[in-house]
Amino acid sequence: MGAPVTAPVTIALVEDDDEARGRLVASIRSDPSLRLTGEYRSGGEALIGLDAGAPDVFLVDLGLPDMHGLDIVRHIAAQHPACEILVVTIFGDEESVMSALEAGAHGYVLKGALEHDIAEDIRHLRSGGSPLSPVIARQVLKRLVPAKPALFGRSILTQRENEILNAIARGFTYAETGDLLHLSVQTVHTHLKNIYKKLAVHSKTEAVFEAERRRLI
Amino acid sequence: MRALLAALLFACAAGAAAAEAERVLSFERAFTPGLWVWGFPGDEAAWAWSPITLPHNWYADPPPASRAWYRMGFTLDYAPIGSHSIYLARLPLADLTVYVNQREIWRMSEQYAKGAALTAVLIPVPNGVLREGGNVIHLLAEGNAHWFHGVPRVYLGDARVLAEWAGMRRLIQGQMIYIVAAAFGAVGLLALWLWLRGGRDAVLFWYAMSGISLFIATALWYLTLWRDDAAGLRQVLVFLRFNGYMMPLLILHLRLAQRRHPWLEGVLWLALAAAVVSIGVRGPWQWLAWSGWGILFAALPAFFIIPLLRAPGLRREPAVLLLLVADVAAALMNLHDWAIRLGWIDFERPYLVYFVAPFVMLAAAVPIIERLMAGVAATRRMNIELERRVDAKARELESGYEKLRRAQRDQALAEERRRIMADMHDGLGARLVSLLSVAQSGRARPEELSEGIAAALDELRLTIDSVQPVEGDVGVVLGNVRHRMRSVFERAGMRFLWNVSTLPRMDDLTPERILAIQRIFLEVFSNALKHSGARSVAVSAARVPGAVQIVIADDGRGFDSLAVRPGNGLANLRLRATQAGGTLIVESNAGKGTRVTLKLPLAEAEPPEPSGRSDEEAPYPIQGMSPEPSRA
Repeated sequence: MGAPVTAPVTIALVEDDDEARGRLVASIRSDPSLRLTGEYRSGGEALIGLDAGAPDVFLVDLGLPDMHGLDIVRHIAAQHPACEILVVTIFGDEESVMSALEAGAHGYVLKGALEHDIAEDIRHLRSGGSPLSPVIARQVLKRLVPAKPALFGRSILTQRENEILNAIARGFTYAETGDLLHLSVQTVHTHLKNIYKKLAVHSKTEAVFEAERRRLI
Repeated sequence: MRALLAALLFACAAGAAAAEAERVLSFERAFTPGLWVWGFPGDEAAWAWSPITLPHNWYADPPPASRAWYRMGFTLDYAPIGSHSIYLARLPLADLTVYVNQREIWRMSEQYAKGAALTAVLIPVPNGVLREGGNVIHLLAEGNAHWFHGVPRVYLGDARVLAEWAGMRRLIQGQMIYIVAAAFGAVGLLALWLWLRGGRDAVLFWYAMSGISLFIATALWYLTLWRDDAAGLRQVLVFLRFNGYMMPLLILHLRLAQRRHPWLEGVLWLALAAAVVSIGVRGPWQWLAWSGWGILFAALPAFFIIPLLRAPGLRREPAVLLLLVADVAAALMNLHDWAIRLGWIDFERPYLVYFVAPFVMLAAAVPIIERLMAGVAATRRMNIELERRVDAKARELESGYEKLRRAQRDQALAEERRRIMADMHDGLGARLVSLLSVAQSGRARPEELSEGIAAALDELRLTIDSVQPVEGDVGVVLGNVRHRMRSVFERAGMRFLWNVSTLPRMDDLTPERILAIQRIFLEVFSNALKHSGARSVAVSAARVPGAVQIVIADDGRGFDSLAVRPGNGLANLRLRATQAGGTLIVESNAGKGTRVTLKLPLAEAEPPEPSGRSDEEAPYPIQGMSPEPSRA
């Protein structure tokens, strides 16, 4: 994804573990196309920092001492829709990633991988989307495609989005998916971004529906 | 029906009351010579005229020689300017000639004899015949003495008033018959339709038969009126019209009481047949047969109500009591008519026999409707009960199923916990222990340590990946291994030829099997990376008959599979394949790369899928990819 970057991308991060934060900071600083604008040790600090304005990318560790990382994700998604939110997770497991995506995150990066360059991941994500694992793609499909085809009303995903998720769930890379469906990689990325939006919106409607069902609203 | 009768009687009374007001003369008495006079008895003094009361019933009081003259004198105290008529409430079957002031004004015509038999006669008096002062009417009645008739009361008066009387009488004793017959014919057809549609309730059937037979007999009778040669048939049809419908009604009584008396019913049908035959025979005893059968059939309902009254559940039913009233009333109405014919009652009174059928049939309709309604209510109750039971059963099943699922889930969880523990113990735990001892030895190089820790992390991730939801999709498992290892492959410059098609869902894809499949791939991939010097690996997964077949082929050095040394990992791979629930074939030739084929059998119940579907033409959404309906 060698898109030329003219202005440096501004990045902020919240991570309570000093060592992990140190490594993230070092990785970001080593890359001239990235510029660190804030580093926070707790959710409270991050929220205060965000009042002054949001960076292009915000890295959120999900396990914070004072609040759940998802609350920060929701806050940023609501207050700073232009800000790209990436969650930092050790395992990239379905539960944490799906809940992050549904809260409004745009992707996730793995921490603790050997010789893993977090800056590269960020560049990768900036150029179009998050690396969606097959498991996650499968879960997104499960959430957004109804069990039975709806008689009335449209399904949430377009056919093209469905095809893309389907290919990724079977292990195809974005490039291979693009080849398979005669699309450019950039188009695949665009579709994936739309899918994330739909996922977040869908989870909100579901929550409203659930609340209505329970007569809370 | 009672209201109608009341209205009828009221109309007669009103007519009588109006007689004085409208200057209608009613002749209750006449004079008769007492012997047969040939020719017009003009000279009053020549005959010994004796008084006689009208109506004169010939059955009770036969005239001489079956012929009789009647003379009625009267005085008009006004000049008769408007038109006048003579009105007879019932036409005698005897021939009749009417004279006013010695002038013949009317003779019974053929048309009257056929079309208007037994109904009212209106005779216009020509202008100038009547005069102020003394007038005289002469009637000449001729014919056989008949138990039906004689000479009725004679009315003379304003033509308009008498036309109204005659119209009312013809409506009641004429048109009404056809209206009633048509109505009950329609009701009968409706009942027949209900019978055909519904549960073939015998009560409905007999009701239908009753209405339809009433209609048919009446219609046929009406048709015979216009045929001279059908007098005998007409008699039969009249009898059937008055009594035929009673047979099905009698059987209906039995069915309502939930009784069957085949022999009794047989006797009844035979009696009806005998009655019809005997009515058709003309002769001196015909009237006796007619009256005898008529009285029998008229009286029978009063007996057939008895089983209904004795039935325990029905005795106090208002509908049954109503039917009882109707049956008794029907018998009384018939009795009334026979009293007219026998001369016990003034035969100017209207016959009630026409109203027996509607009266009884209306009364019989009430229990039938009640029965239908009760049937509907019972069905509804049964439906509600059935629904309740189905609900209860469903809840029971649901709770049982829920328990079963909970137990299964608990068991699966326990097994999973045990497996993960064993896995952690053998894999991650062992690796960490050895790392610890290396670190404690103080001789460990940092690269060695970090490599070991990274390997431990990979092991942990592998274990976590094995419990990720894959919805029974082996493709997701393959893809996830590739995704996990992508940085390793990228660094090594390894290229993938990825050709995983949409695979059928495997519901029995347990985490244990997933882990085994992951391990097979890791092993095969790392072999390709480390030992064979391969530059590209082709991975394909597709459905073959009865199984999912996964093929991993590299373009590396390969080895001679015939000269394989033991302990090179092949045995390990086969063990994993067994754990994955499949079979493994490794083919390799020196210089031609290695090809590993893993076959995972599909469960029997898997429906056949159209084959030959490639990725390029795969329609979406694809089988095996649809999210499962919520189960857990």
